[in-house]
Amino acid sequence: MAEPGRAGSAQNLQEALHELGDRIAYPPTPPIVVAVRSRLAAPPGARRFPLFSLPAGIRLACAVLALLLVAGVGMALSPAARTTVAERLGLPGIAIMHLPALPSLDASRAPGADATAVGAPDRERLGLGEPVTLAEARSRVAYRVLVPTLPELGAPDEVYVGEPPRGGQVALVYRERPGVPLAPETDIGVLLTQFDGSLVIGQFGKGLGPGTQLEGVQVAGANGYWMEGAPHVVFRYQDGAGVVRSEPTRLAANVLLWQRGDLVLRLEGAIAKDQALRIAAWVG
Amino acid sequence: MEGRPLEDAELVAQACRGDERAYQALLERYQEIVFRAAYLVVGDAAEAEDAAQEAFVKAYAALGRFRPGAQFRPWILRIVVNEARNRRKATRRRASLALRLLDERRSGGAAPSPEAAALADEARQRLLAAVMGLREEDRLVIAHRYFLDLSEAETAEALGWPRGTVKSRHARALGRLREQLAADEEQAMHSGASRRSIDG
Repeated sequence: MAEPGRAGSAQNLQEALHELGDRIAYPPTPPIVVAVRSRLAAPPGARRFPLFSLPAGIRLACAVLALLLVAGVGMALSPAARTTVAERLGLPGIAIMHLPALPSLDASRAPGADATAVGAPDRERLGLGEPVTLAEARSRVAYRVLVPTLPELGAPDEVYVGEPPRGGQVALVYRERPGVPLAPETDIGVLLTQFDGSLVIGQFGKGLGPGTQLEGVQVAGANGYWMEGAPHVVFRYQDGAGVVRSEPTRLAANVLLWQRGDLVLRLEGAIAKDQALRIAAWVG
Repeated sequence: MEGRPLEDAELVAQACRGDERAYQALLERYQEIVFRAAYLVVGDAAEAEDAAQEAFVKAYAALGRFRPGAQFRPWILRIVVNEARNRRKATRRRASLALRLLDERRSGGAAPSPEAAALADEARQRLLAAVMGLREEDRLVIAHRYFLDLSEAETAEALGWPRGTVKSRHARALGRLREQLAADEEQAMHSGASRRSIDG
C-alpha cells in the first residue's frame, strides 16, 4: 500500500486513504428497499406498525407467512386454479394475484346455487356470505349499512352478510342494468361491499402488473383508490381490534376502494372510473 | 459516468409524478452507499439501517423540493448523514465509534510477502486509528472523499457545507493525519520495538 506514515506527500496519504476505504469491513447492506417500500405503503398512522421494529429474521419470517397467507386466499377463491395460481405480493397495501381465470358460471360447478337468493348461481364461489334481506343485514351488523341512492341504480337485487371480516361484511349485488354491464364471468353488474375497518393502503401501488393502474381518488372528501385492469386485488385493512388482515376483491373487474368513517367500502364492476365515483358519491 | 446524473434526474422526475418504480430504482441504486454513509457516522449496523430507511422515507416526502438539475446522490447522502448524526448525538455513543478492516491475507500486487502484508496491515490500522481520532467534521470529510469516493463538490453538497469549507477541512484533516502518523512512527521507533514500514 502507499505508505502514509513515512511519506509526507499528500498524494501518498491520499492513495493510502483510498486503499483504506476499499478495505473497511462494512456490514452487509440490509434490504432497505423492501423496508422503505413497506413504510411508504402504509398510511401515516400505520407507519409504526410493530412488524417493522422486529428483528430482520422475524420480519423475513412474517413476510414469508404473509406470502403463504395471500396465496391461500387465492386458492380459497378459486380451487380450480390451485395448481396454476401465480401470486405477486406487492406492498402491504396492495397485492395483486394473477389468477388464470375465474371458474365459469356453469351451473354444475356452482353447488351453492340452491342456497343463494333468487337464482344467483355463483355467490358461494364469490364468498359473499349468507343471503339476507337488507333489513336483516342491518340488524346483523353493528354499523350503519350504507346503500347507494343513485336513482338509476335502484335497490340492490341481492344482499349478503358474511364473516370474515370481523364484525361482518355486507355485500350488495346489483345485476346488469342500463349503463351497468356484467362483470366478466358473472351475472353481477356491480358489487358493493362494506365492513368495519381501516384501510392499510398507500400511495405506492407496488405489485400492479403491466396494463393495470392504481390511482388515488377522492370520494366525498375521503381518500380512495381506483384500480383498473388488475385480475384480482388483495388489500389490507385493520379490523376493529387493530389487527391487520387481508381481504380479496371478488370480481375480476375494476375496483374503487375507499374509507368512509369507520367503514371500508369497495365497489367492483366492469364500469368506468367516472361511473364508479358517481355511484360512490351517492352512497349514504 | 456522464449518463448517471441524467438518468437519476429522470428517475426523480418520474418519482415526483408518482411512479413508484422510479423511486425504487433510485433506492436500489443508492441503498448501499446510503447505508454505508450512515454506518460511517454511527458505527452500528442496526442504527445505520434505521437511519438509511428514515432517510429514504424523508427523501420521498421531500421529492417535491428537489432542485431541478441537482444530483440525487449527494442529496440523499445529505439527508442520511444528518439523520445519522442526529442519532449518534441522541444515543451519546460518540466515544464508541470503531470501524474494522477486512482481514485480507491474500496478497495483492502491493504485498510481495507475508511480512510485507503484515506491515501493510499494521500501517492501515494506524491510518484508520488516526482517521477515527480526527474531530467529527474532519473525519466526515475524509470519509466522504476517500471511503465513499465523492468529489469535493459532492462532499460539499452531502455535508451541507460551502465548498471552501470542505476544501479547508480536507486540508486540515490531511495535515492532522500526517502529524498523527509521524508521531506514531516516532513513538514506535523510540520504543525500540519498531517494525519499520517499508518505504523502499
